[in-house]
Amino acid sequence: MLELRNITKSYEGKSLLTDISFAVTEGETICLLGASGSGKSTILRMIAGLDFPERGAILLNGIDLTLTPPHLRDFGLVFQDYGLFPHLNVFDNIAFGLRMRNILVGEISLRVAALLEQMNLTGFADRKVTDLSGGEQQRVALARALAPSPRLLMFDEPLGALDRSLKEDLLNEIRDILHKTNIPAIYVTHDQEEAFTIADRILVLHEGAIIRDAAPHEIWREPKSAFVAKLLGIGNVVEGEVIAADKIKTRHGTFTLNCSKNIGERLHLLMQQPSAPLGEGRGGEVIAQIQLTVEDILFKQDQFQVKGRGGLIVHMKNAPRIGDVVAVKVQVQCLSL
Amino acid sequence: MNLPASKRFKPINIRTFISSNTRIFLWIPTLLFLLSFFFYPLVKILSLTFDLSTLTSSNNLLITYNSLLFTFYQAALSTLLTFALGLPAAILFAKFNFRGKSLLRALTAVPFMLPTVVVAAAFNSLLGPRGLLLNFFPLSSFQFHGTLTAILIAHTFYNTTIVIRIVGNALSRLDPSLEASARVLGADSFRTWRYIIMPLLRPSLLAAALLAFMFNFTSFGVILLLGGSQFATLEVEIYIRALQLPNLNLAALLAAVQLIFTLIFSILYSRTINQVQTQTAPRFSASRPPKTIRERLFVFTLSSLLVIFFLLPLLSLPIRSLTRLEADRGQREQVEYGFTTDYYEELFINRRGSLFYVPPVQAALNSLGFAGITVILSLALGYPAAYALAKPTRLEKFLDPFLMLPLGASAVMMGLGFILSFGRLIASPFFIPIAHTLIALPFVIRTLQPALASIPERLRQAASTLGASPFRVWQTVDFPILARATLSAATFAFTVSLGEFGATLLITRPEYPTIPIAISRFLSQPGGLNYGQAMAMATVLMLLTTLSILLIEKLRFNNAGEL
Repeated sequence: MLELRNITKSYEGKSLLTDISFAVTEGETICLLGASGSGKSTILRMIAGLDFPERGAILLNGIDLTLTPPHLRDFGLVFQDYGLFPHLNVFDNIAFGLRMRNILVGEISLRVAALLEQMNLTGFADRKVTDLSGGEQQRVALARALAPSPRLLMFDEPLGALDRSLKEDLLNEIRDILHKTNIPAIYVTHDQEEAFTIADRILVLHEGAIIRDAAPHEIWREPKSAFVAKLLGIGNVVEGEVIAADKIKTRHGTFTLNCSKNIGERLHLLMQQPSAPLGEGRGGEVIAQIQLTVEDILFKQDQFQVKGRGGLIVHMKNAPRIGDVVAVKVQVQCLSL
Repeated sequence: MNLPASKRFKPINIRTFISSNTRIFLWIPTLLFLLSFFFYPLVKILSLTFDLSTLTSSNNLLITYNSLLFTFYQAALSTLLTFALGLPAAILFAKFNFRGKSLLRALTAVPFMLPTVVVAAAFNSLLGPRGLLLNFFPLSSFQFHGTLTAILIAHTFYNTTIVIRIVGNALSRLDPSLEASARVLGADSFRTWRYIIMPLLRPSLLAAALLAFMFNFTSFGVILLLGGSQFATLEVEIYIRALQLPNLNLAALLAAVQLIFTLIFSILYSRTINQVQTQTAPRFSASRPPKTIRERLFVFTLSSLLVIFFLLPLLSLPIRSLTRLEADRGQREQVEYGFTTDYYEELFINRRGSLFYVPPVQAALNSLGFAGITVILSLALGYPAAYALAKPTRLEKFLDPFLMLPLGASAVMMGLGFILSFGRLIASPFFIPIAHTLIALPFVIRTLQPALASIPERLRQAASTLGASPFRVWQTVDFPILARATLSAATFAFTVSLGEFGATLLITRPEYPTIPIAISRFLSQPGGLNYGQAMAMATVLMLLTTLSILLIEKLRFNNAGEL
C-alpha cells in the first residue's frame, strides 16, 4: 500500500503542492484529475523518485521511500509521449526492465512473448518502435512497464496524444489489465471521461490541494464545489443569492433551499435533471419545476440537448421548438465556491 | 493523318521556354569563376602531383608521410582535448539553467569566427614571451609559445563550441521521459548513460568529433603563428614548400593528400550529421537549475573554468595593446611603464627607416579595399546561383555540391593552386579578393538561397489581391526578406576577407599586405613597439570581427548558415 503524507512542493519559488496526503490500497486504481499545471505529474515524479518533495514523506507498506533511488523502487511509469527508447526494437524495449534486474535470458524471452500476446502485439518483436502507430507505441510502453511486475503502476496522461476511438479501446484494455493483475495504479489525466471510466476513486487537484476524494458515482451525485462540477461537466452551475434563510434567488427562479449561508451572500447552485443513478432523497437537495425559454436545440443520439435562456442545458426526449417555453424538473443542490 | 488540332501544333509556352533557357545564364558567371579560379588550379595541383618525378622522389614521399602523420597526431590530440572540455560544457548547457548562461554560451562561440591571427595574438598577449602572465609571474621554466601545447590549447579554444553546439543540442533535445523511463525501469544512472543516453548521442558525438578533427587537420594560422614552422603539418609544409624552400612538386603532392583526407572527412561528416538531425525531434529544453550540492559544484566550477579559458585571452589582447611593459626598440630615455595609447598612434605614423616599409594604415586600407571587392564579387556571383538554387531543376541540384566544393579545400591549398596556375600574374593584388571570394562564396550562397526560397508565392498573391502593384509587392514582400539575407551574406563575406590569412600569405606580394599579414609580420619582428602594434591591430580586427558576428547573428534568417 502506497501512502503520501503531507507532501509539499514548490516550483520556481511558487508553491505548487501543499500538504498532499492520500493512500492507494491493494488493487485500487485512483485517478488524479486536475487542470494542466496543477502539479499532477509532479506527484507522479515524486512517487517514482525522479523528483523530491520539500516536506512530507512517501511510504510503501509503511517504509519510507525517501532514500530509495528510482531504479530500486520497482514502480512502473507510462508517459503521454511513451518514452520508448528509439534505438531499441519492440522486444528490447519491453525487455529493458527485466535486463536491468539481471533476469535469465530464457525467462526474459518467455515473459516478453507473453506480454506481446496479451497486448495484441504478436509479431512486433523485431519492429522498430519509431515505425509504430501511436496506439501501438502506447501498447509497447504499457507492456514495458508491466514486464518487471511492478509494485505500483503510474500513468501520466497516457492517452493524451491519441485520437478518440483509439483512446476508448486502450482505456478498456488498461482497465482489464489492472483488474487482472491487481496492481495498484495511479492514473493522471485532465480528461473527466477517462477518469470516470478507469478510476475506483477520483482525487481532484486544485490550487495545490486535493479538494475532492471520492468514488466516481459519489462525485457525480455530489460534486460539492462549483470547480469540481465545472471541471467534470456535471449538470448546470448557476449563480445565486441568499434572500432569506432558506430562499435562494437565481436567474431561473427562486428555490427553497438551506445552504447555511447568510442573507445577501452569493453562492453557486447545481441544477441536474433527476435520473435513476442519482437517486432521490439524499437530503440537501430539492426538486423544483422551472420554466425555460428554448434558445437552441441539438440532436444527441437518443435525446435532444436543449439550451434555454440564461445558458441552462437540459435533455429532453421530444424536441421543442425554439422560442417555446417548457417546464423542466430539476434537482437543485448547494455548492461551495 | 488526322490528328486533333492540339496535337498537330504543339503549343509552346513562350514564358516557360524562355525562362528554362535563360536559367542557364544564371549559372554561367558562377561556373566560369569556379572553373577558372578553383577547378583549373585544382587540376594544376593534381597534374603536378601525378607527375612521375613527384611520385618517384623518395624524399617527397617521406616528407609527405611524416607531415601526414604529424597532422593526424596533432589533430587527434587537439580533438581529444576539445572533447575533454567540450563534453562537460555540453552537459552544462544542456542540463542546467544558471545566471549568465546565454552570455557564457555566446562567449564560447566567439572564437570560432575570429581570424586565426587574432587568436594567435590573443594567446601570445597572455602566455607569450612578452605576454601579461610572464610579466607578472616571471617563471623561467614556463614556455608556451612555440610548443605543441600552445597549438592544442588554441585549437580547443576554437572548436569547443562545435561540441557544445552539436552534442549539447542533441542532449537537450533528448526526450527527458527516456531518462526517466530507464530510471524507473530499474537502470541506475550509470546504466542509463551506458544503455540509453550514449547510444542516442553517438551520431552527434561522431559528427562533432569529425568536424573538430577536420578543422584541426586543416589548421594553418594557429600552427604557424603559435607553434612555428617546426610543427610541420601538411598545411605548414605546403606553405614552406611553396615559398620558403620551393619545391612545387612536393607542395602539390602534399595538397593532394590533404584534399583526399578533407574530402573523406566531409563525406563522413555530412552522413553523420544527417543522422543527428533525423534522430532527435525538436522538443522543449529539459534544462533546470542545479539542485544537489554536487550539481551546484559542477555548474560553478565548470562555468568559472569556461569564463577564465575563453575570456582571459580575449581580454588580455586589448589590455596588452594598451600597456607598455618594456622599452621600445631604440628608446634610450626614461621609459614609462603602464597605460599607453602609443601603439595605436604608431599605426598611423609612417616612420622612415622603419624596418617595415608599408605603414599599418596602408595595410588596413588594403584590407578594407579587398574586403569591399570580395563583398561585391561574392554577392554578384552568389545571387544568380542562389536564385537558381531556390527552385532548382534536376540538373541544378546536381550542380549544387560543386558550388560547395571550395569548402573542402584549405586556404593554403587555394593559394598554392593560384601560384601554380597564374605564376607571375598573381603579383596583381586583384587575386587576393578572388581567393577571398572563393572562400566566402559557399557561405554567401547558403545564406541567400533559403531566403530566396522562403518567399512564398502565396504571400505575393495575397499582397496583389489586397491591391498592391507589382512594385509594391516587391517592396513589401520580397525586399524585407532579401535585405536581411543580403546584409547578412555581405557581412559574412566582409568578415571572411578581413581575417583571411592562409591563402593571402601565399599569394600576397610584400607591397600589398592585409591586416592579418601585417600583424603576423609585426609579431615576427623584434622590439616592444612592433609587438605593441601587432596587439593594437589584432585588437582592432577582433572588435571589427566581433561586431560583424553580432550583426550576422541579429540578421540570421531562420537557421540558414547553421553548422
